[in-house]
Amino acid sequence: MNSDFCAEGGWFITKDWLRPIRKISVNTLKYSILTIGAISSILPFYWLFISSLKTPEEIMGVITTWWPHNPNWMAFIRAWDFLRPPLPRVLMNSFLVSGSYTLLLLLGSSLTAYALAKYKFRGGPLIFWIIISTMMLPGIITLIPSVMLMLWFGWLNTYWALIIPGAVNAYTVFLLRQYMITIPDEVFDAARLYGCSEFGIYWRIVLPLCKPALAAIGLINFVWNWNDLLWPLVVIKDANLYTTQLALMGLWDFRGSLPHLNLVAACTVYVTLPLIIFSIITSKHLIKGFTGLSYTAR
Amino acid sequence: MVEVRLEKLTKVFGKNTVAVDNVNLHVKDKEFIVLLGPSGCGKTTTLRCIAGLETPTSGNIYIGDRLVNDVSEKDRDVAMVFQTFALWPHMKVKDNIAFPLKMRKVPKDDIRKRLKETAELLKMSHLLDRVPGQLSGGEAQRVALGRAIIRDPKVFLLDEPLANLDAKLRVHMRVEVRKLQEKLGVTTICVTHDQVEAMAMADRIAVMHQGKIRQLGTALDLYDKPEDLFVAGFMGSPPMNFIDCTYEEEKKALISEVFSLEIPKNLTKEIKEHATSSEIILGVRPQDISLHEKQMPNSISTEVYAMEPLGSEAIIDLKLGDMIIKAVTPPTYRTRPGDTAWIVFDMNRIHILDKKTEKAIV
Amino acid sequence: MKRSRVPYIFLIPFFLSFAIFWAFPLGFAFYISFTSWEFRPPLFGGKWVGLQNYVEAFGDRYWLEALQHSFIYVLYEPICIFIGLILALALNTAIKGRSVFRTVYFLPVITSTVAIAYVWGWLYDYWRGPFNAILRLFGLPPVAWLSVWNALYSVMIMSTWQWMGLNVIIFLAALQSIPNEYHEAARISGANAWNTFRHITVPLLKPTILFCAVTATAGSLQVFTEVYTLTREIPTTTVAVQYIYRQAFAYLKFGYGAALAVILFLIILVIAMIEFRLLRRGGMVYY
Repeated sequence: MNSDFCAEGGWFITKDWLRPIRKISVNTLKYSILTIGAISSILPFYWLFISSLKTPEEIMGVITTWWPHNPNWMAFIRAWDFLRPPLPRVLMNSFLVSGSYTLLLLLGSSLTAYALAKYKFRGGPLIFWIIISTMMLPGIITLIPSVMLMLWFGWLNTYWALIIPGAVNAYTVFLLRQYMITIPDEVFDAARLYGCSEFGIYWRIVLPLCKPALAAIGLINFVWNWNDLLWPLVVIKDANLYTTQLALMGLWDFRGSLPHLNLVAACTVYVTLPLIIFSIITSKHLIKGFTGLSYTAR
Repeated sequence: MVEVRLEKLTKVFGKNTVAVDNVNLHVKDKEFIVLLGPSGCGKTTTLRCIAGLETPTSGNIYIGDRLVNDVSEKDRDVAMVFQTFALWPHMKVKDNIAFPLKMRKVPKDDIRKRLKETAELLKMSHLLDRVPGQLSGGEAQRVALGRAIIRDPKVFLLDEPLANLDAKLRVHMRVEVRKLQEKLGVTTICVTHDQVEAMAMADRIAVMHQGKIRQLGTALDLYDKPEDLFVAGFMGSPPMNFIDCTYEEEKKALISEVFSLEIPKNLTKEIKEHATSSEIILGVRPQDISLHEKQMPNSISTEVYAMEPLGSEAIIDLKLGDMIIKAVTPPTYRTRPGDTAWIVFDMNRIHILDKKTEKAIV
Repeated sequence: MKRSRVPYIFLIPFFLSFAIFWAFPLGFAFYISFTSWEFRPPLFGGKWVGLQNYVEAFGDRYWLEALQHSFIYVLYEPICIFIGLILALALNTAIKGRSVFRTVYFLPVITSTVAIAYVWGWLYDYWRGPFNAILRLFGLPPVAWLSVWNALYSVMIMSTWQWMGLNVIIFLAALQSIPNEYHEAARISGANAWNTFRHITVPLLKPTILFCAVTATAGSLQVFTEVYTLTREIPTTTVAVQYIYRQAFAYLKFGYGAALAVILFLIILVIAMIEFRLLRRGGMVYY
């Protein structure tokens, strides 16, 4: 009766009275998969946390424990200075660098994107094409020459080296341009009619209208810059300027050292927690930024 | 013999959004029925319940003689044309159309044959190798129709099939769709908010409002004999004029502040029998109002407010007391805003409605 | 009219940044690669040696090994994409707690790789790490995760863990951009769940899969932080960028390092283009 119209699949899939059972088992499968994924995502964080709470003796013991016998919060206090430079300085460095970088990036890229989106001029398509092609090119090749540039500018070992070179980023320009194209032209005509300057249009109309896109793209760039290791590693030697990644990397020699493990763990917690909290708060926009990237495929 | 029967069909979304409220409908074999109504009246939800895309909260759905409440949508043997056509953009036109047969595991040669027949029937053989992105609105619609008819479904479901076409094409296609349905002899249920479309295509129309069927009948039935206020106001363009008044037994007339209208005896009898109170709504179609420059027996004085010359006719807006009513006149009628016009209602064609949405007389 | 000059003015930041930090380094890198420049005093003593660096690179056993390791590393990508796709599919239909799951999967993505590498170093610990503890619990022999043979694969596992959330997000967005009607039309046409998935969902996801594959390949071939942090001292895991870093900034052989960078650059370019062609031909180009 029913199977007249079935394409394929065994009796489990086609008999209608099995529908509720089918639904439950599919749901169970679904949620199990998701939960396994979630637990495995969380496990390392959990381990990090309890590692910071265990005493060195417990860590050195051969038995693996899943919860510290005597949760010991001392590590968090001692970790405050264990990092070189101390944590507040490190966090400040990273905030300064990543924040300035993001700001500069958004301003520069949005200006560029605006010019490309809403003005017709000779060379416009060419420039856009150039930008697209730079997106595809691997960054490794510019590593060494960029270091030389930093040397010539005298920026080695300064904040400038960490902030300026990223001012215009192809992905950002591309995404913002796509977003700006959707703003109806009449908005600009009206503004010009009412005497707004060209830069004023950019500053007062385009930027506010692009806030969601700016937020999303700015956030992922901020996070990316915060977590970057290679470039800061190459251009910064002065410990006072260490970003969170460099400071954490400074603990490398201690990472396997059992007596210090809880300290290293605590430092790691300190270094990662701000960004995690920040990301959870801004998760909605952050995620939009990442999905926006995937639209560059189209 | 494929009839579709809905018994006490109800669909509730969330806690208290009643989209479909106790709908009973019997669609005859090979009939073209239209569910007509404004947005949000429940017509699309009803259609989707029949298709199996929504599960009704309660009630029964019969396709043929089969109770299909628990039958999955892929097994109901219905075909649906979506408002947006829903053509799969990554497949060529011929793959789009042949998909239902492919799902049935029909042998390749048969598929090719059916494809050819269907394409010829809809005059789109030249489109078969294109991709949906390359089609115009009308072409896309034909592809959607082709995909629907290729496997001889028991029931056709059309969800606002003409909504995405431009005006001229719409007028042409509604005849084509109707002709196609007649030729194939498939029971069809169509949903639309455009009453002109409904009247042009349907055997019977079910006017829906707020989840209920207000009236079911042929186009003429609904137009000439609307049973309630909503249907009366919905059918016809320009819409029917509604005038509040009260019925005066002694004068045998309908009274309001600005006029007194005598009513013939057969009507007063009906009013006396069926009205729940003396509060009446008088309904007159603009086409049933005649304008005169001098006072006539049983006429009402109004002031011309505006005039819309439409070529084939003219619509005159008339001020009657505080309200504006519209009348339709031949295109040559001459008048100016501010003039006085005496209007006469065609007594055979007025509608008298109880204020509680009920009707008394044609 | 003043207006016609405005876009050019607006583009000045771009021009500057592009010229100084992109075009110049690109050209300069090629130039350096043809010299024997070492970053010692005198600081600018690059002597032109033509293709000598490249010839040396082809004979450099350690460089070739490093390349090989990078290539093997890239193989974690398909697995990561696959897992991300599965999770995204499940997440797309599951309704309860979707945003919670999404945030949880996303945490590894935004966590610093250095931190992750430290933690996984402890997870992989032979005697005390939880992974081996779980294995022992099931009566299975413990694994030497960070041994010379296994280390590279262990890094790959760590990377899969870190980046699967990103793929989940991307695929989830792609899935949600497919109009429901496409699936409904398929189901009414008689397709069951598997057929709908195979004929409608997957083809429509192909551009997204392509995007993930190409960007992931380019990114993975340039892996550095993971290996530098987790397995720096294990020679069997040295990857290309790490080797370049060592040549250029430890041994200060800028010329040689630049040549290696150019080689890697060209390799990535070619692979990305091949991938692009392959996947595009298999899929369809309807945008």
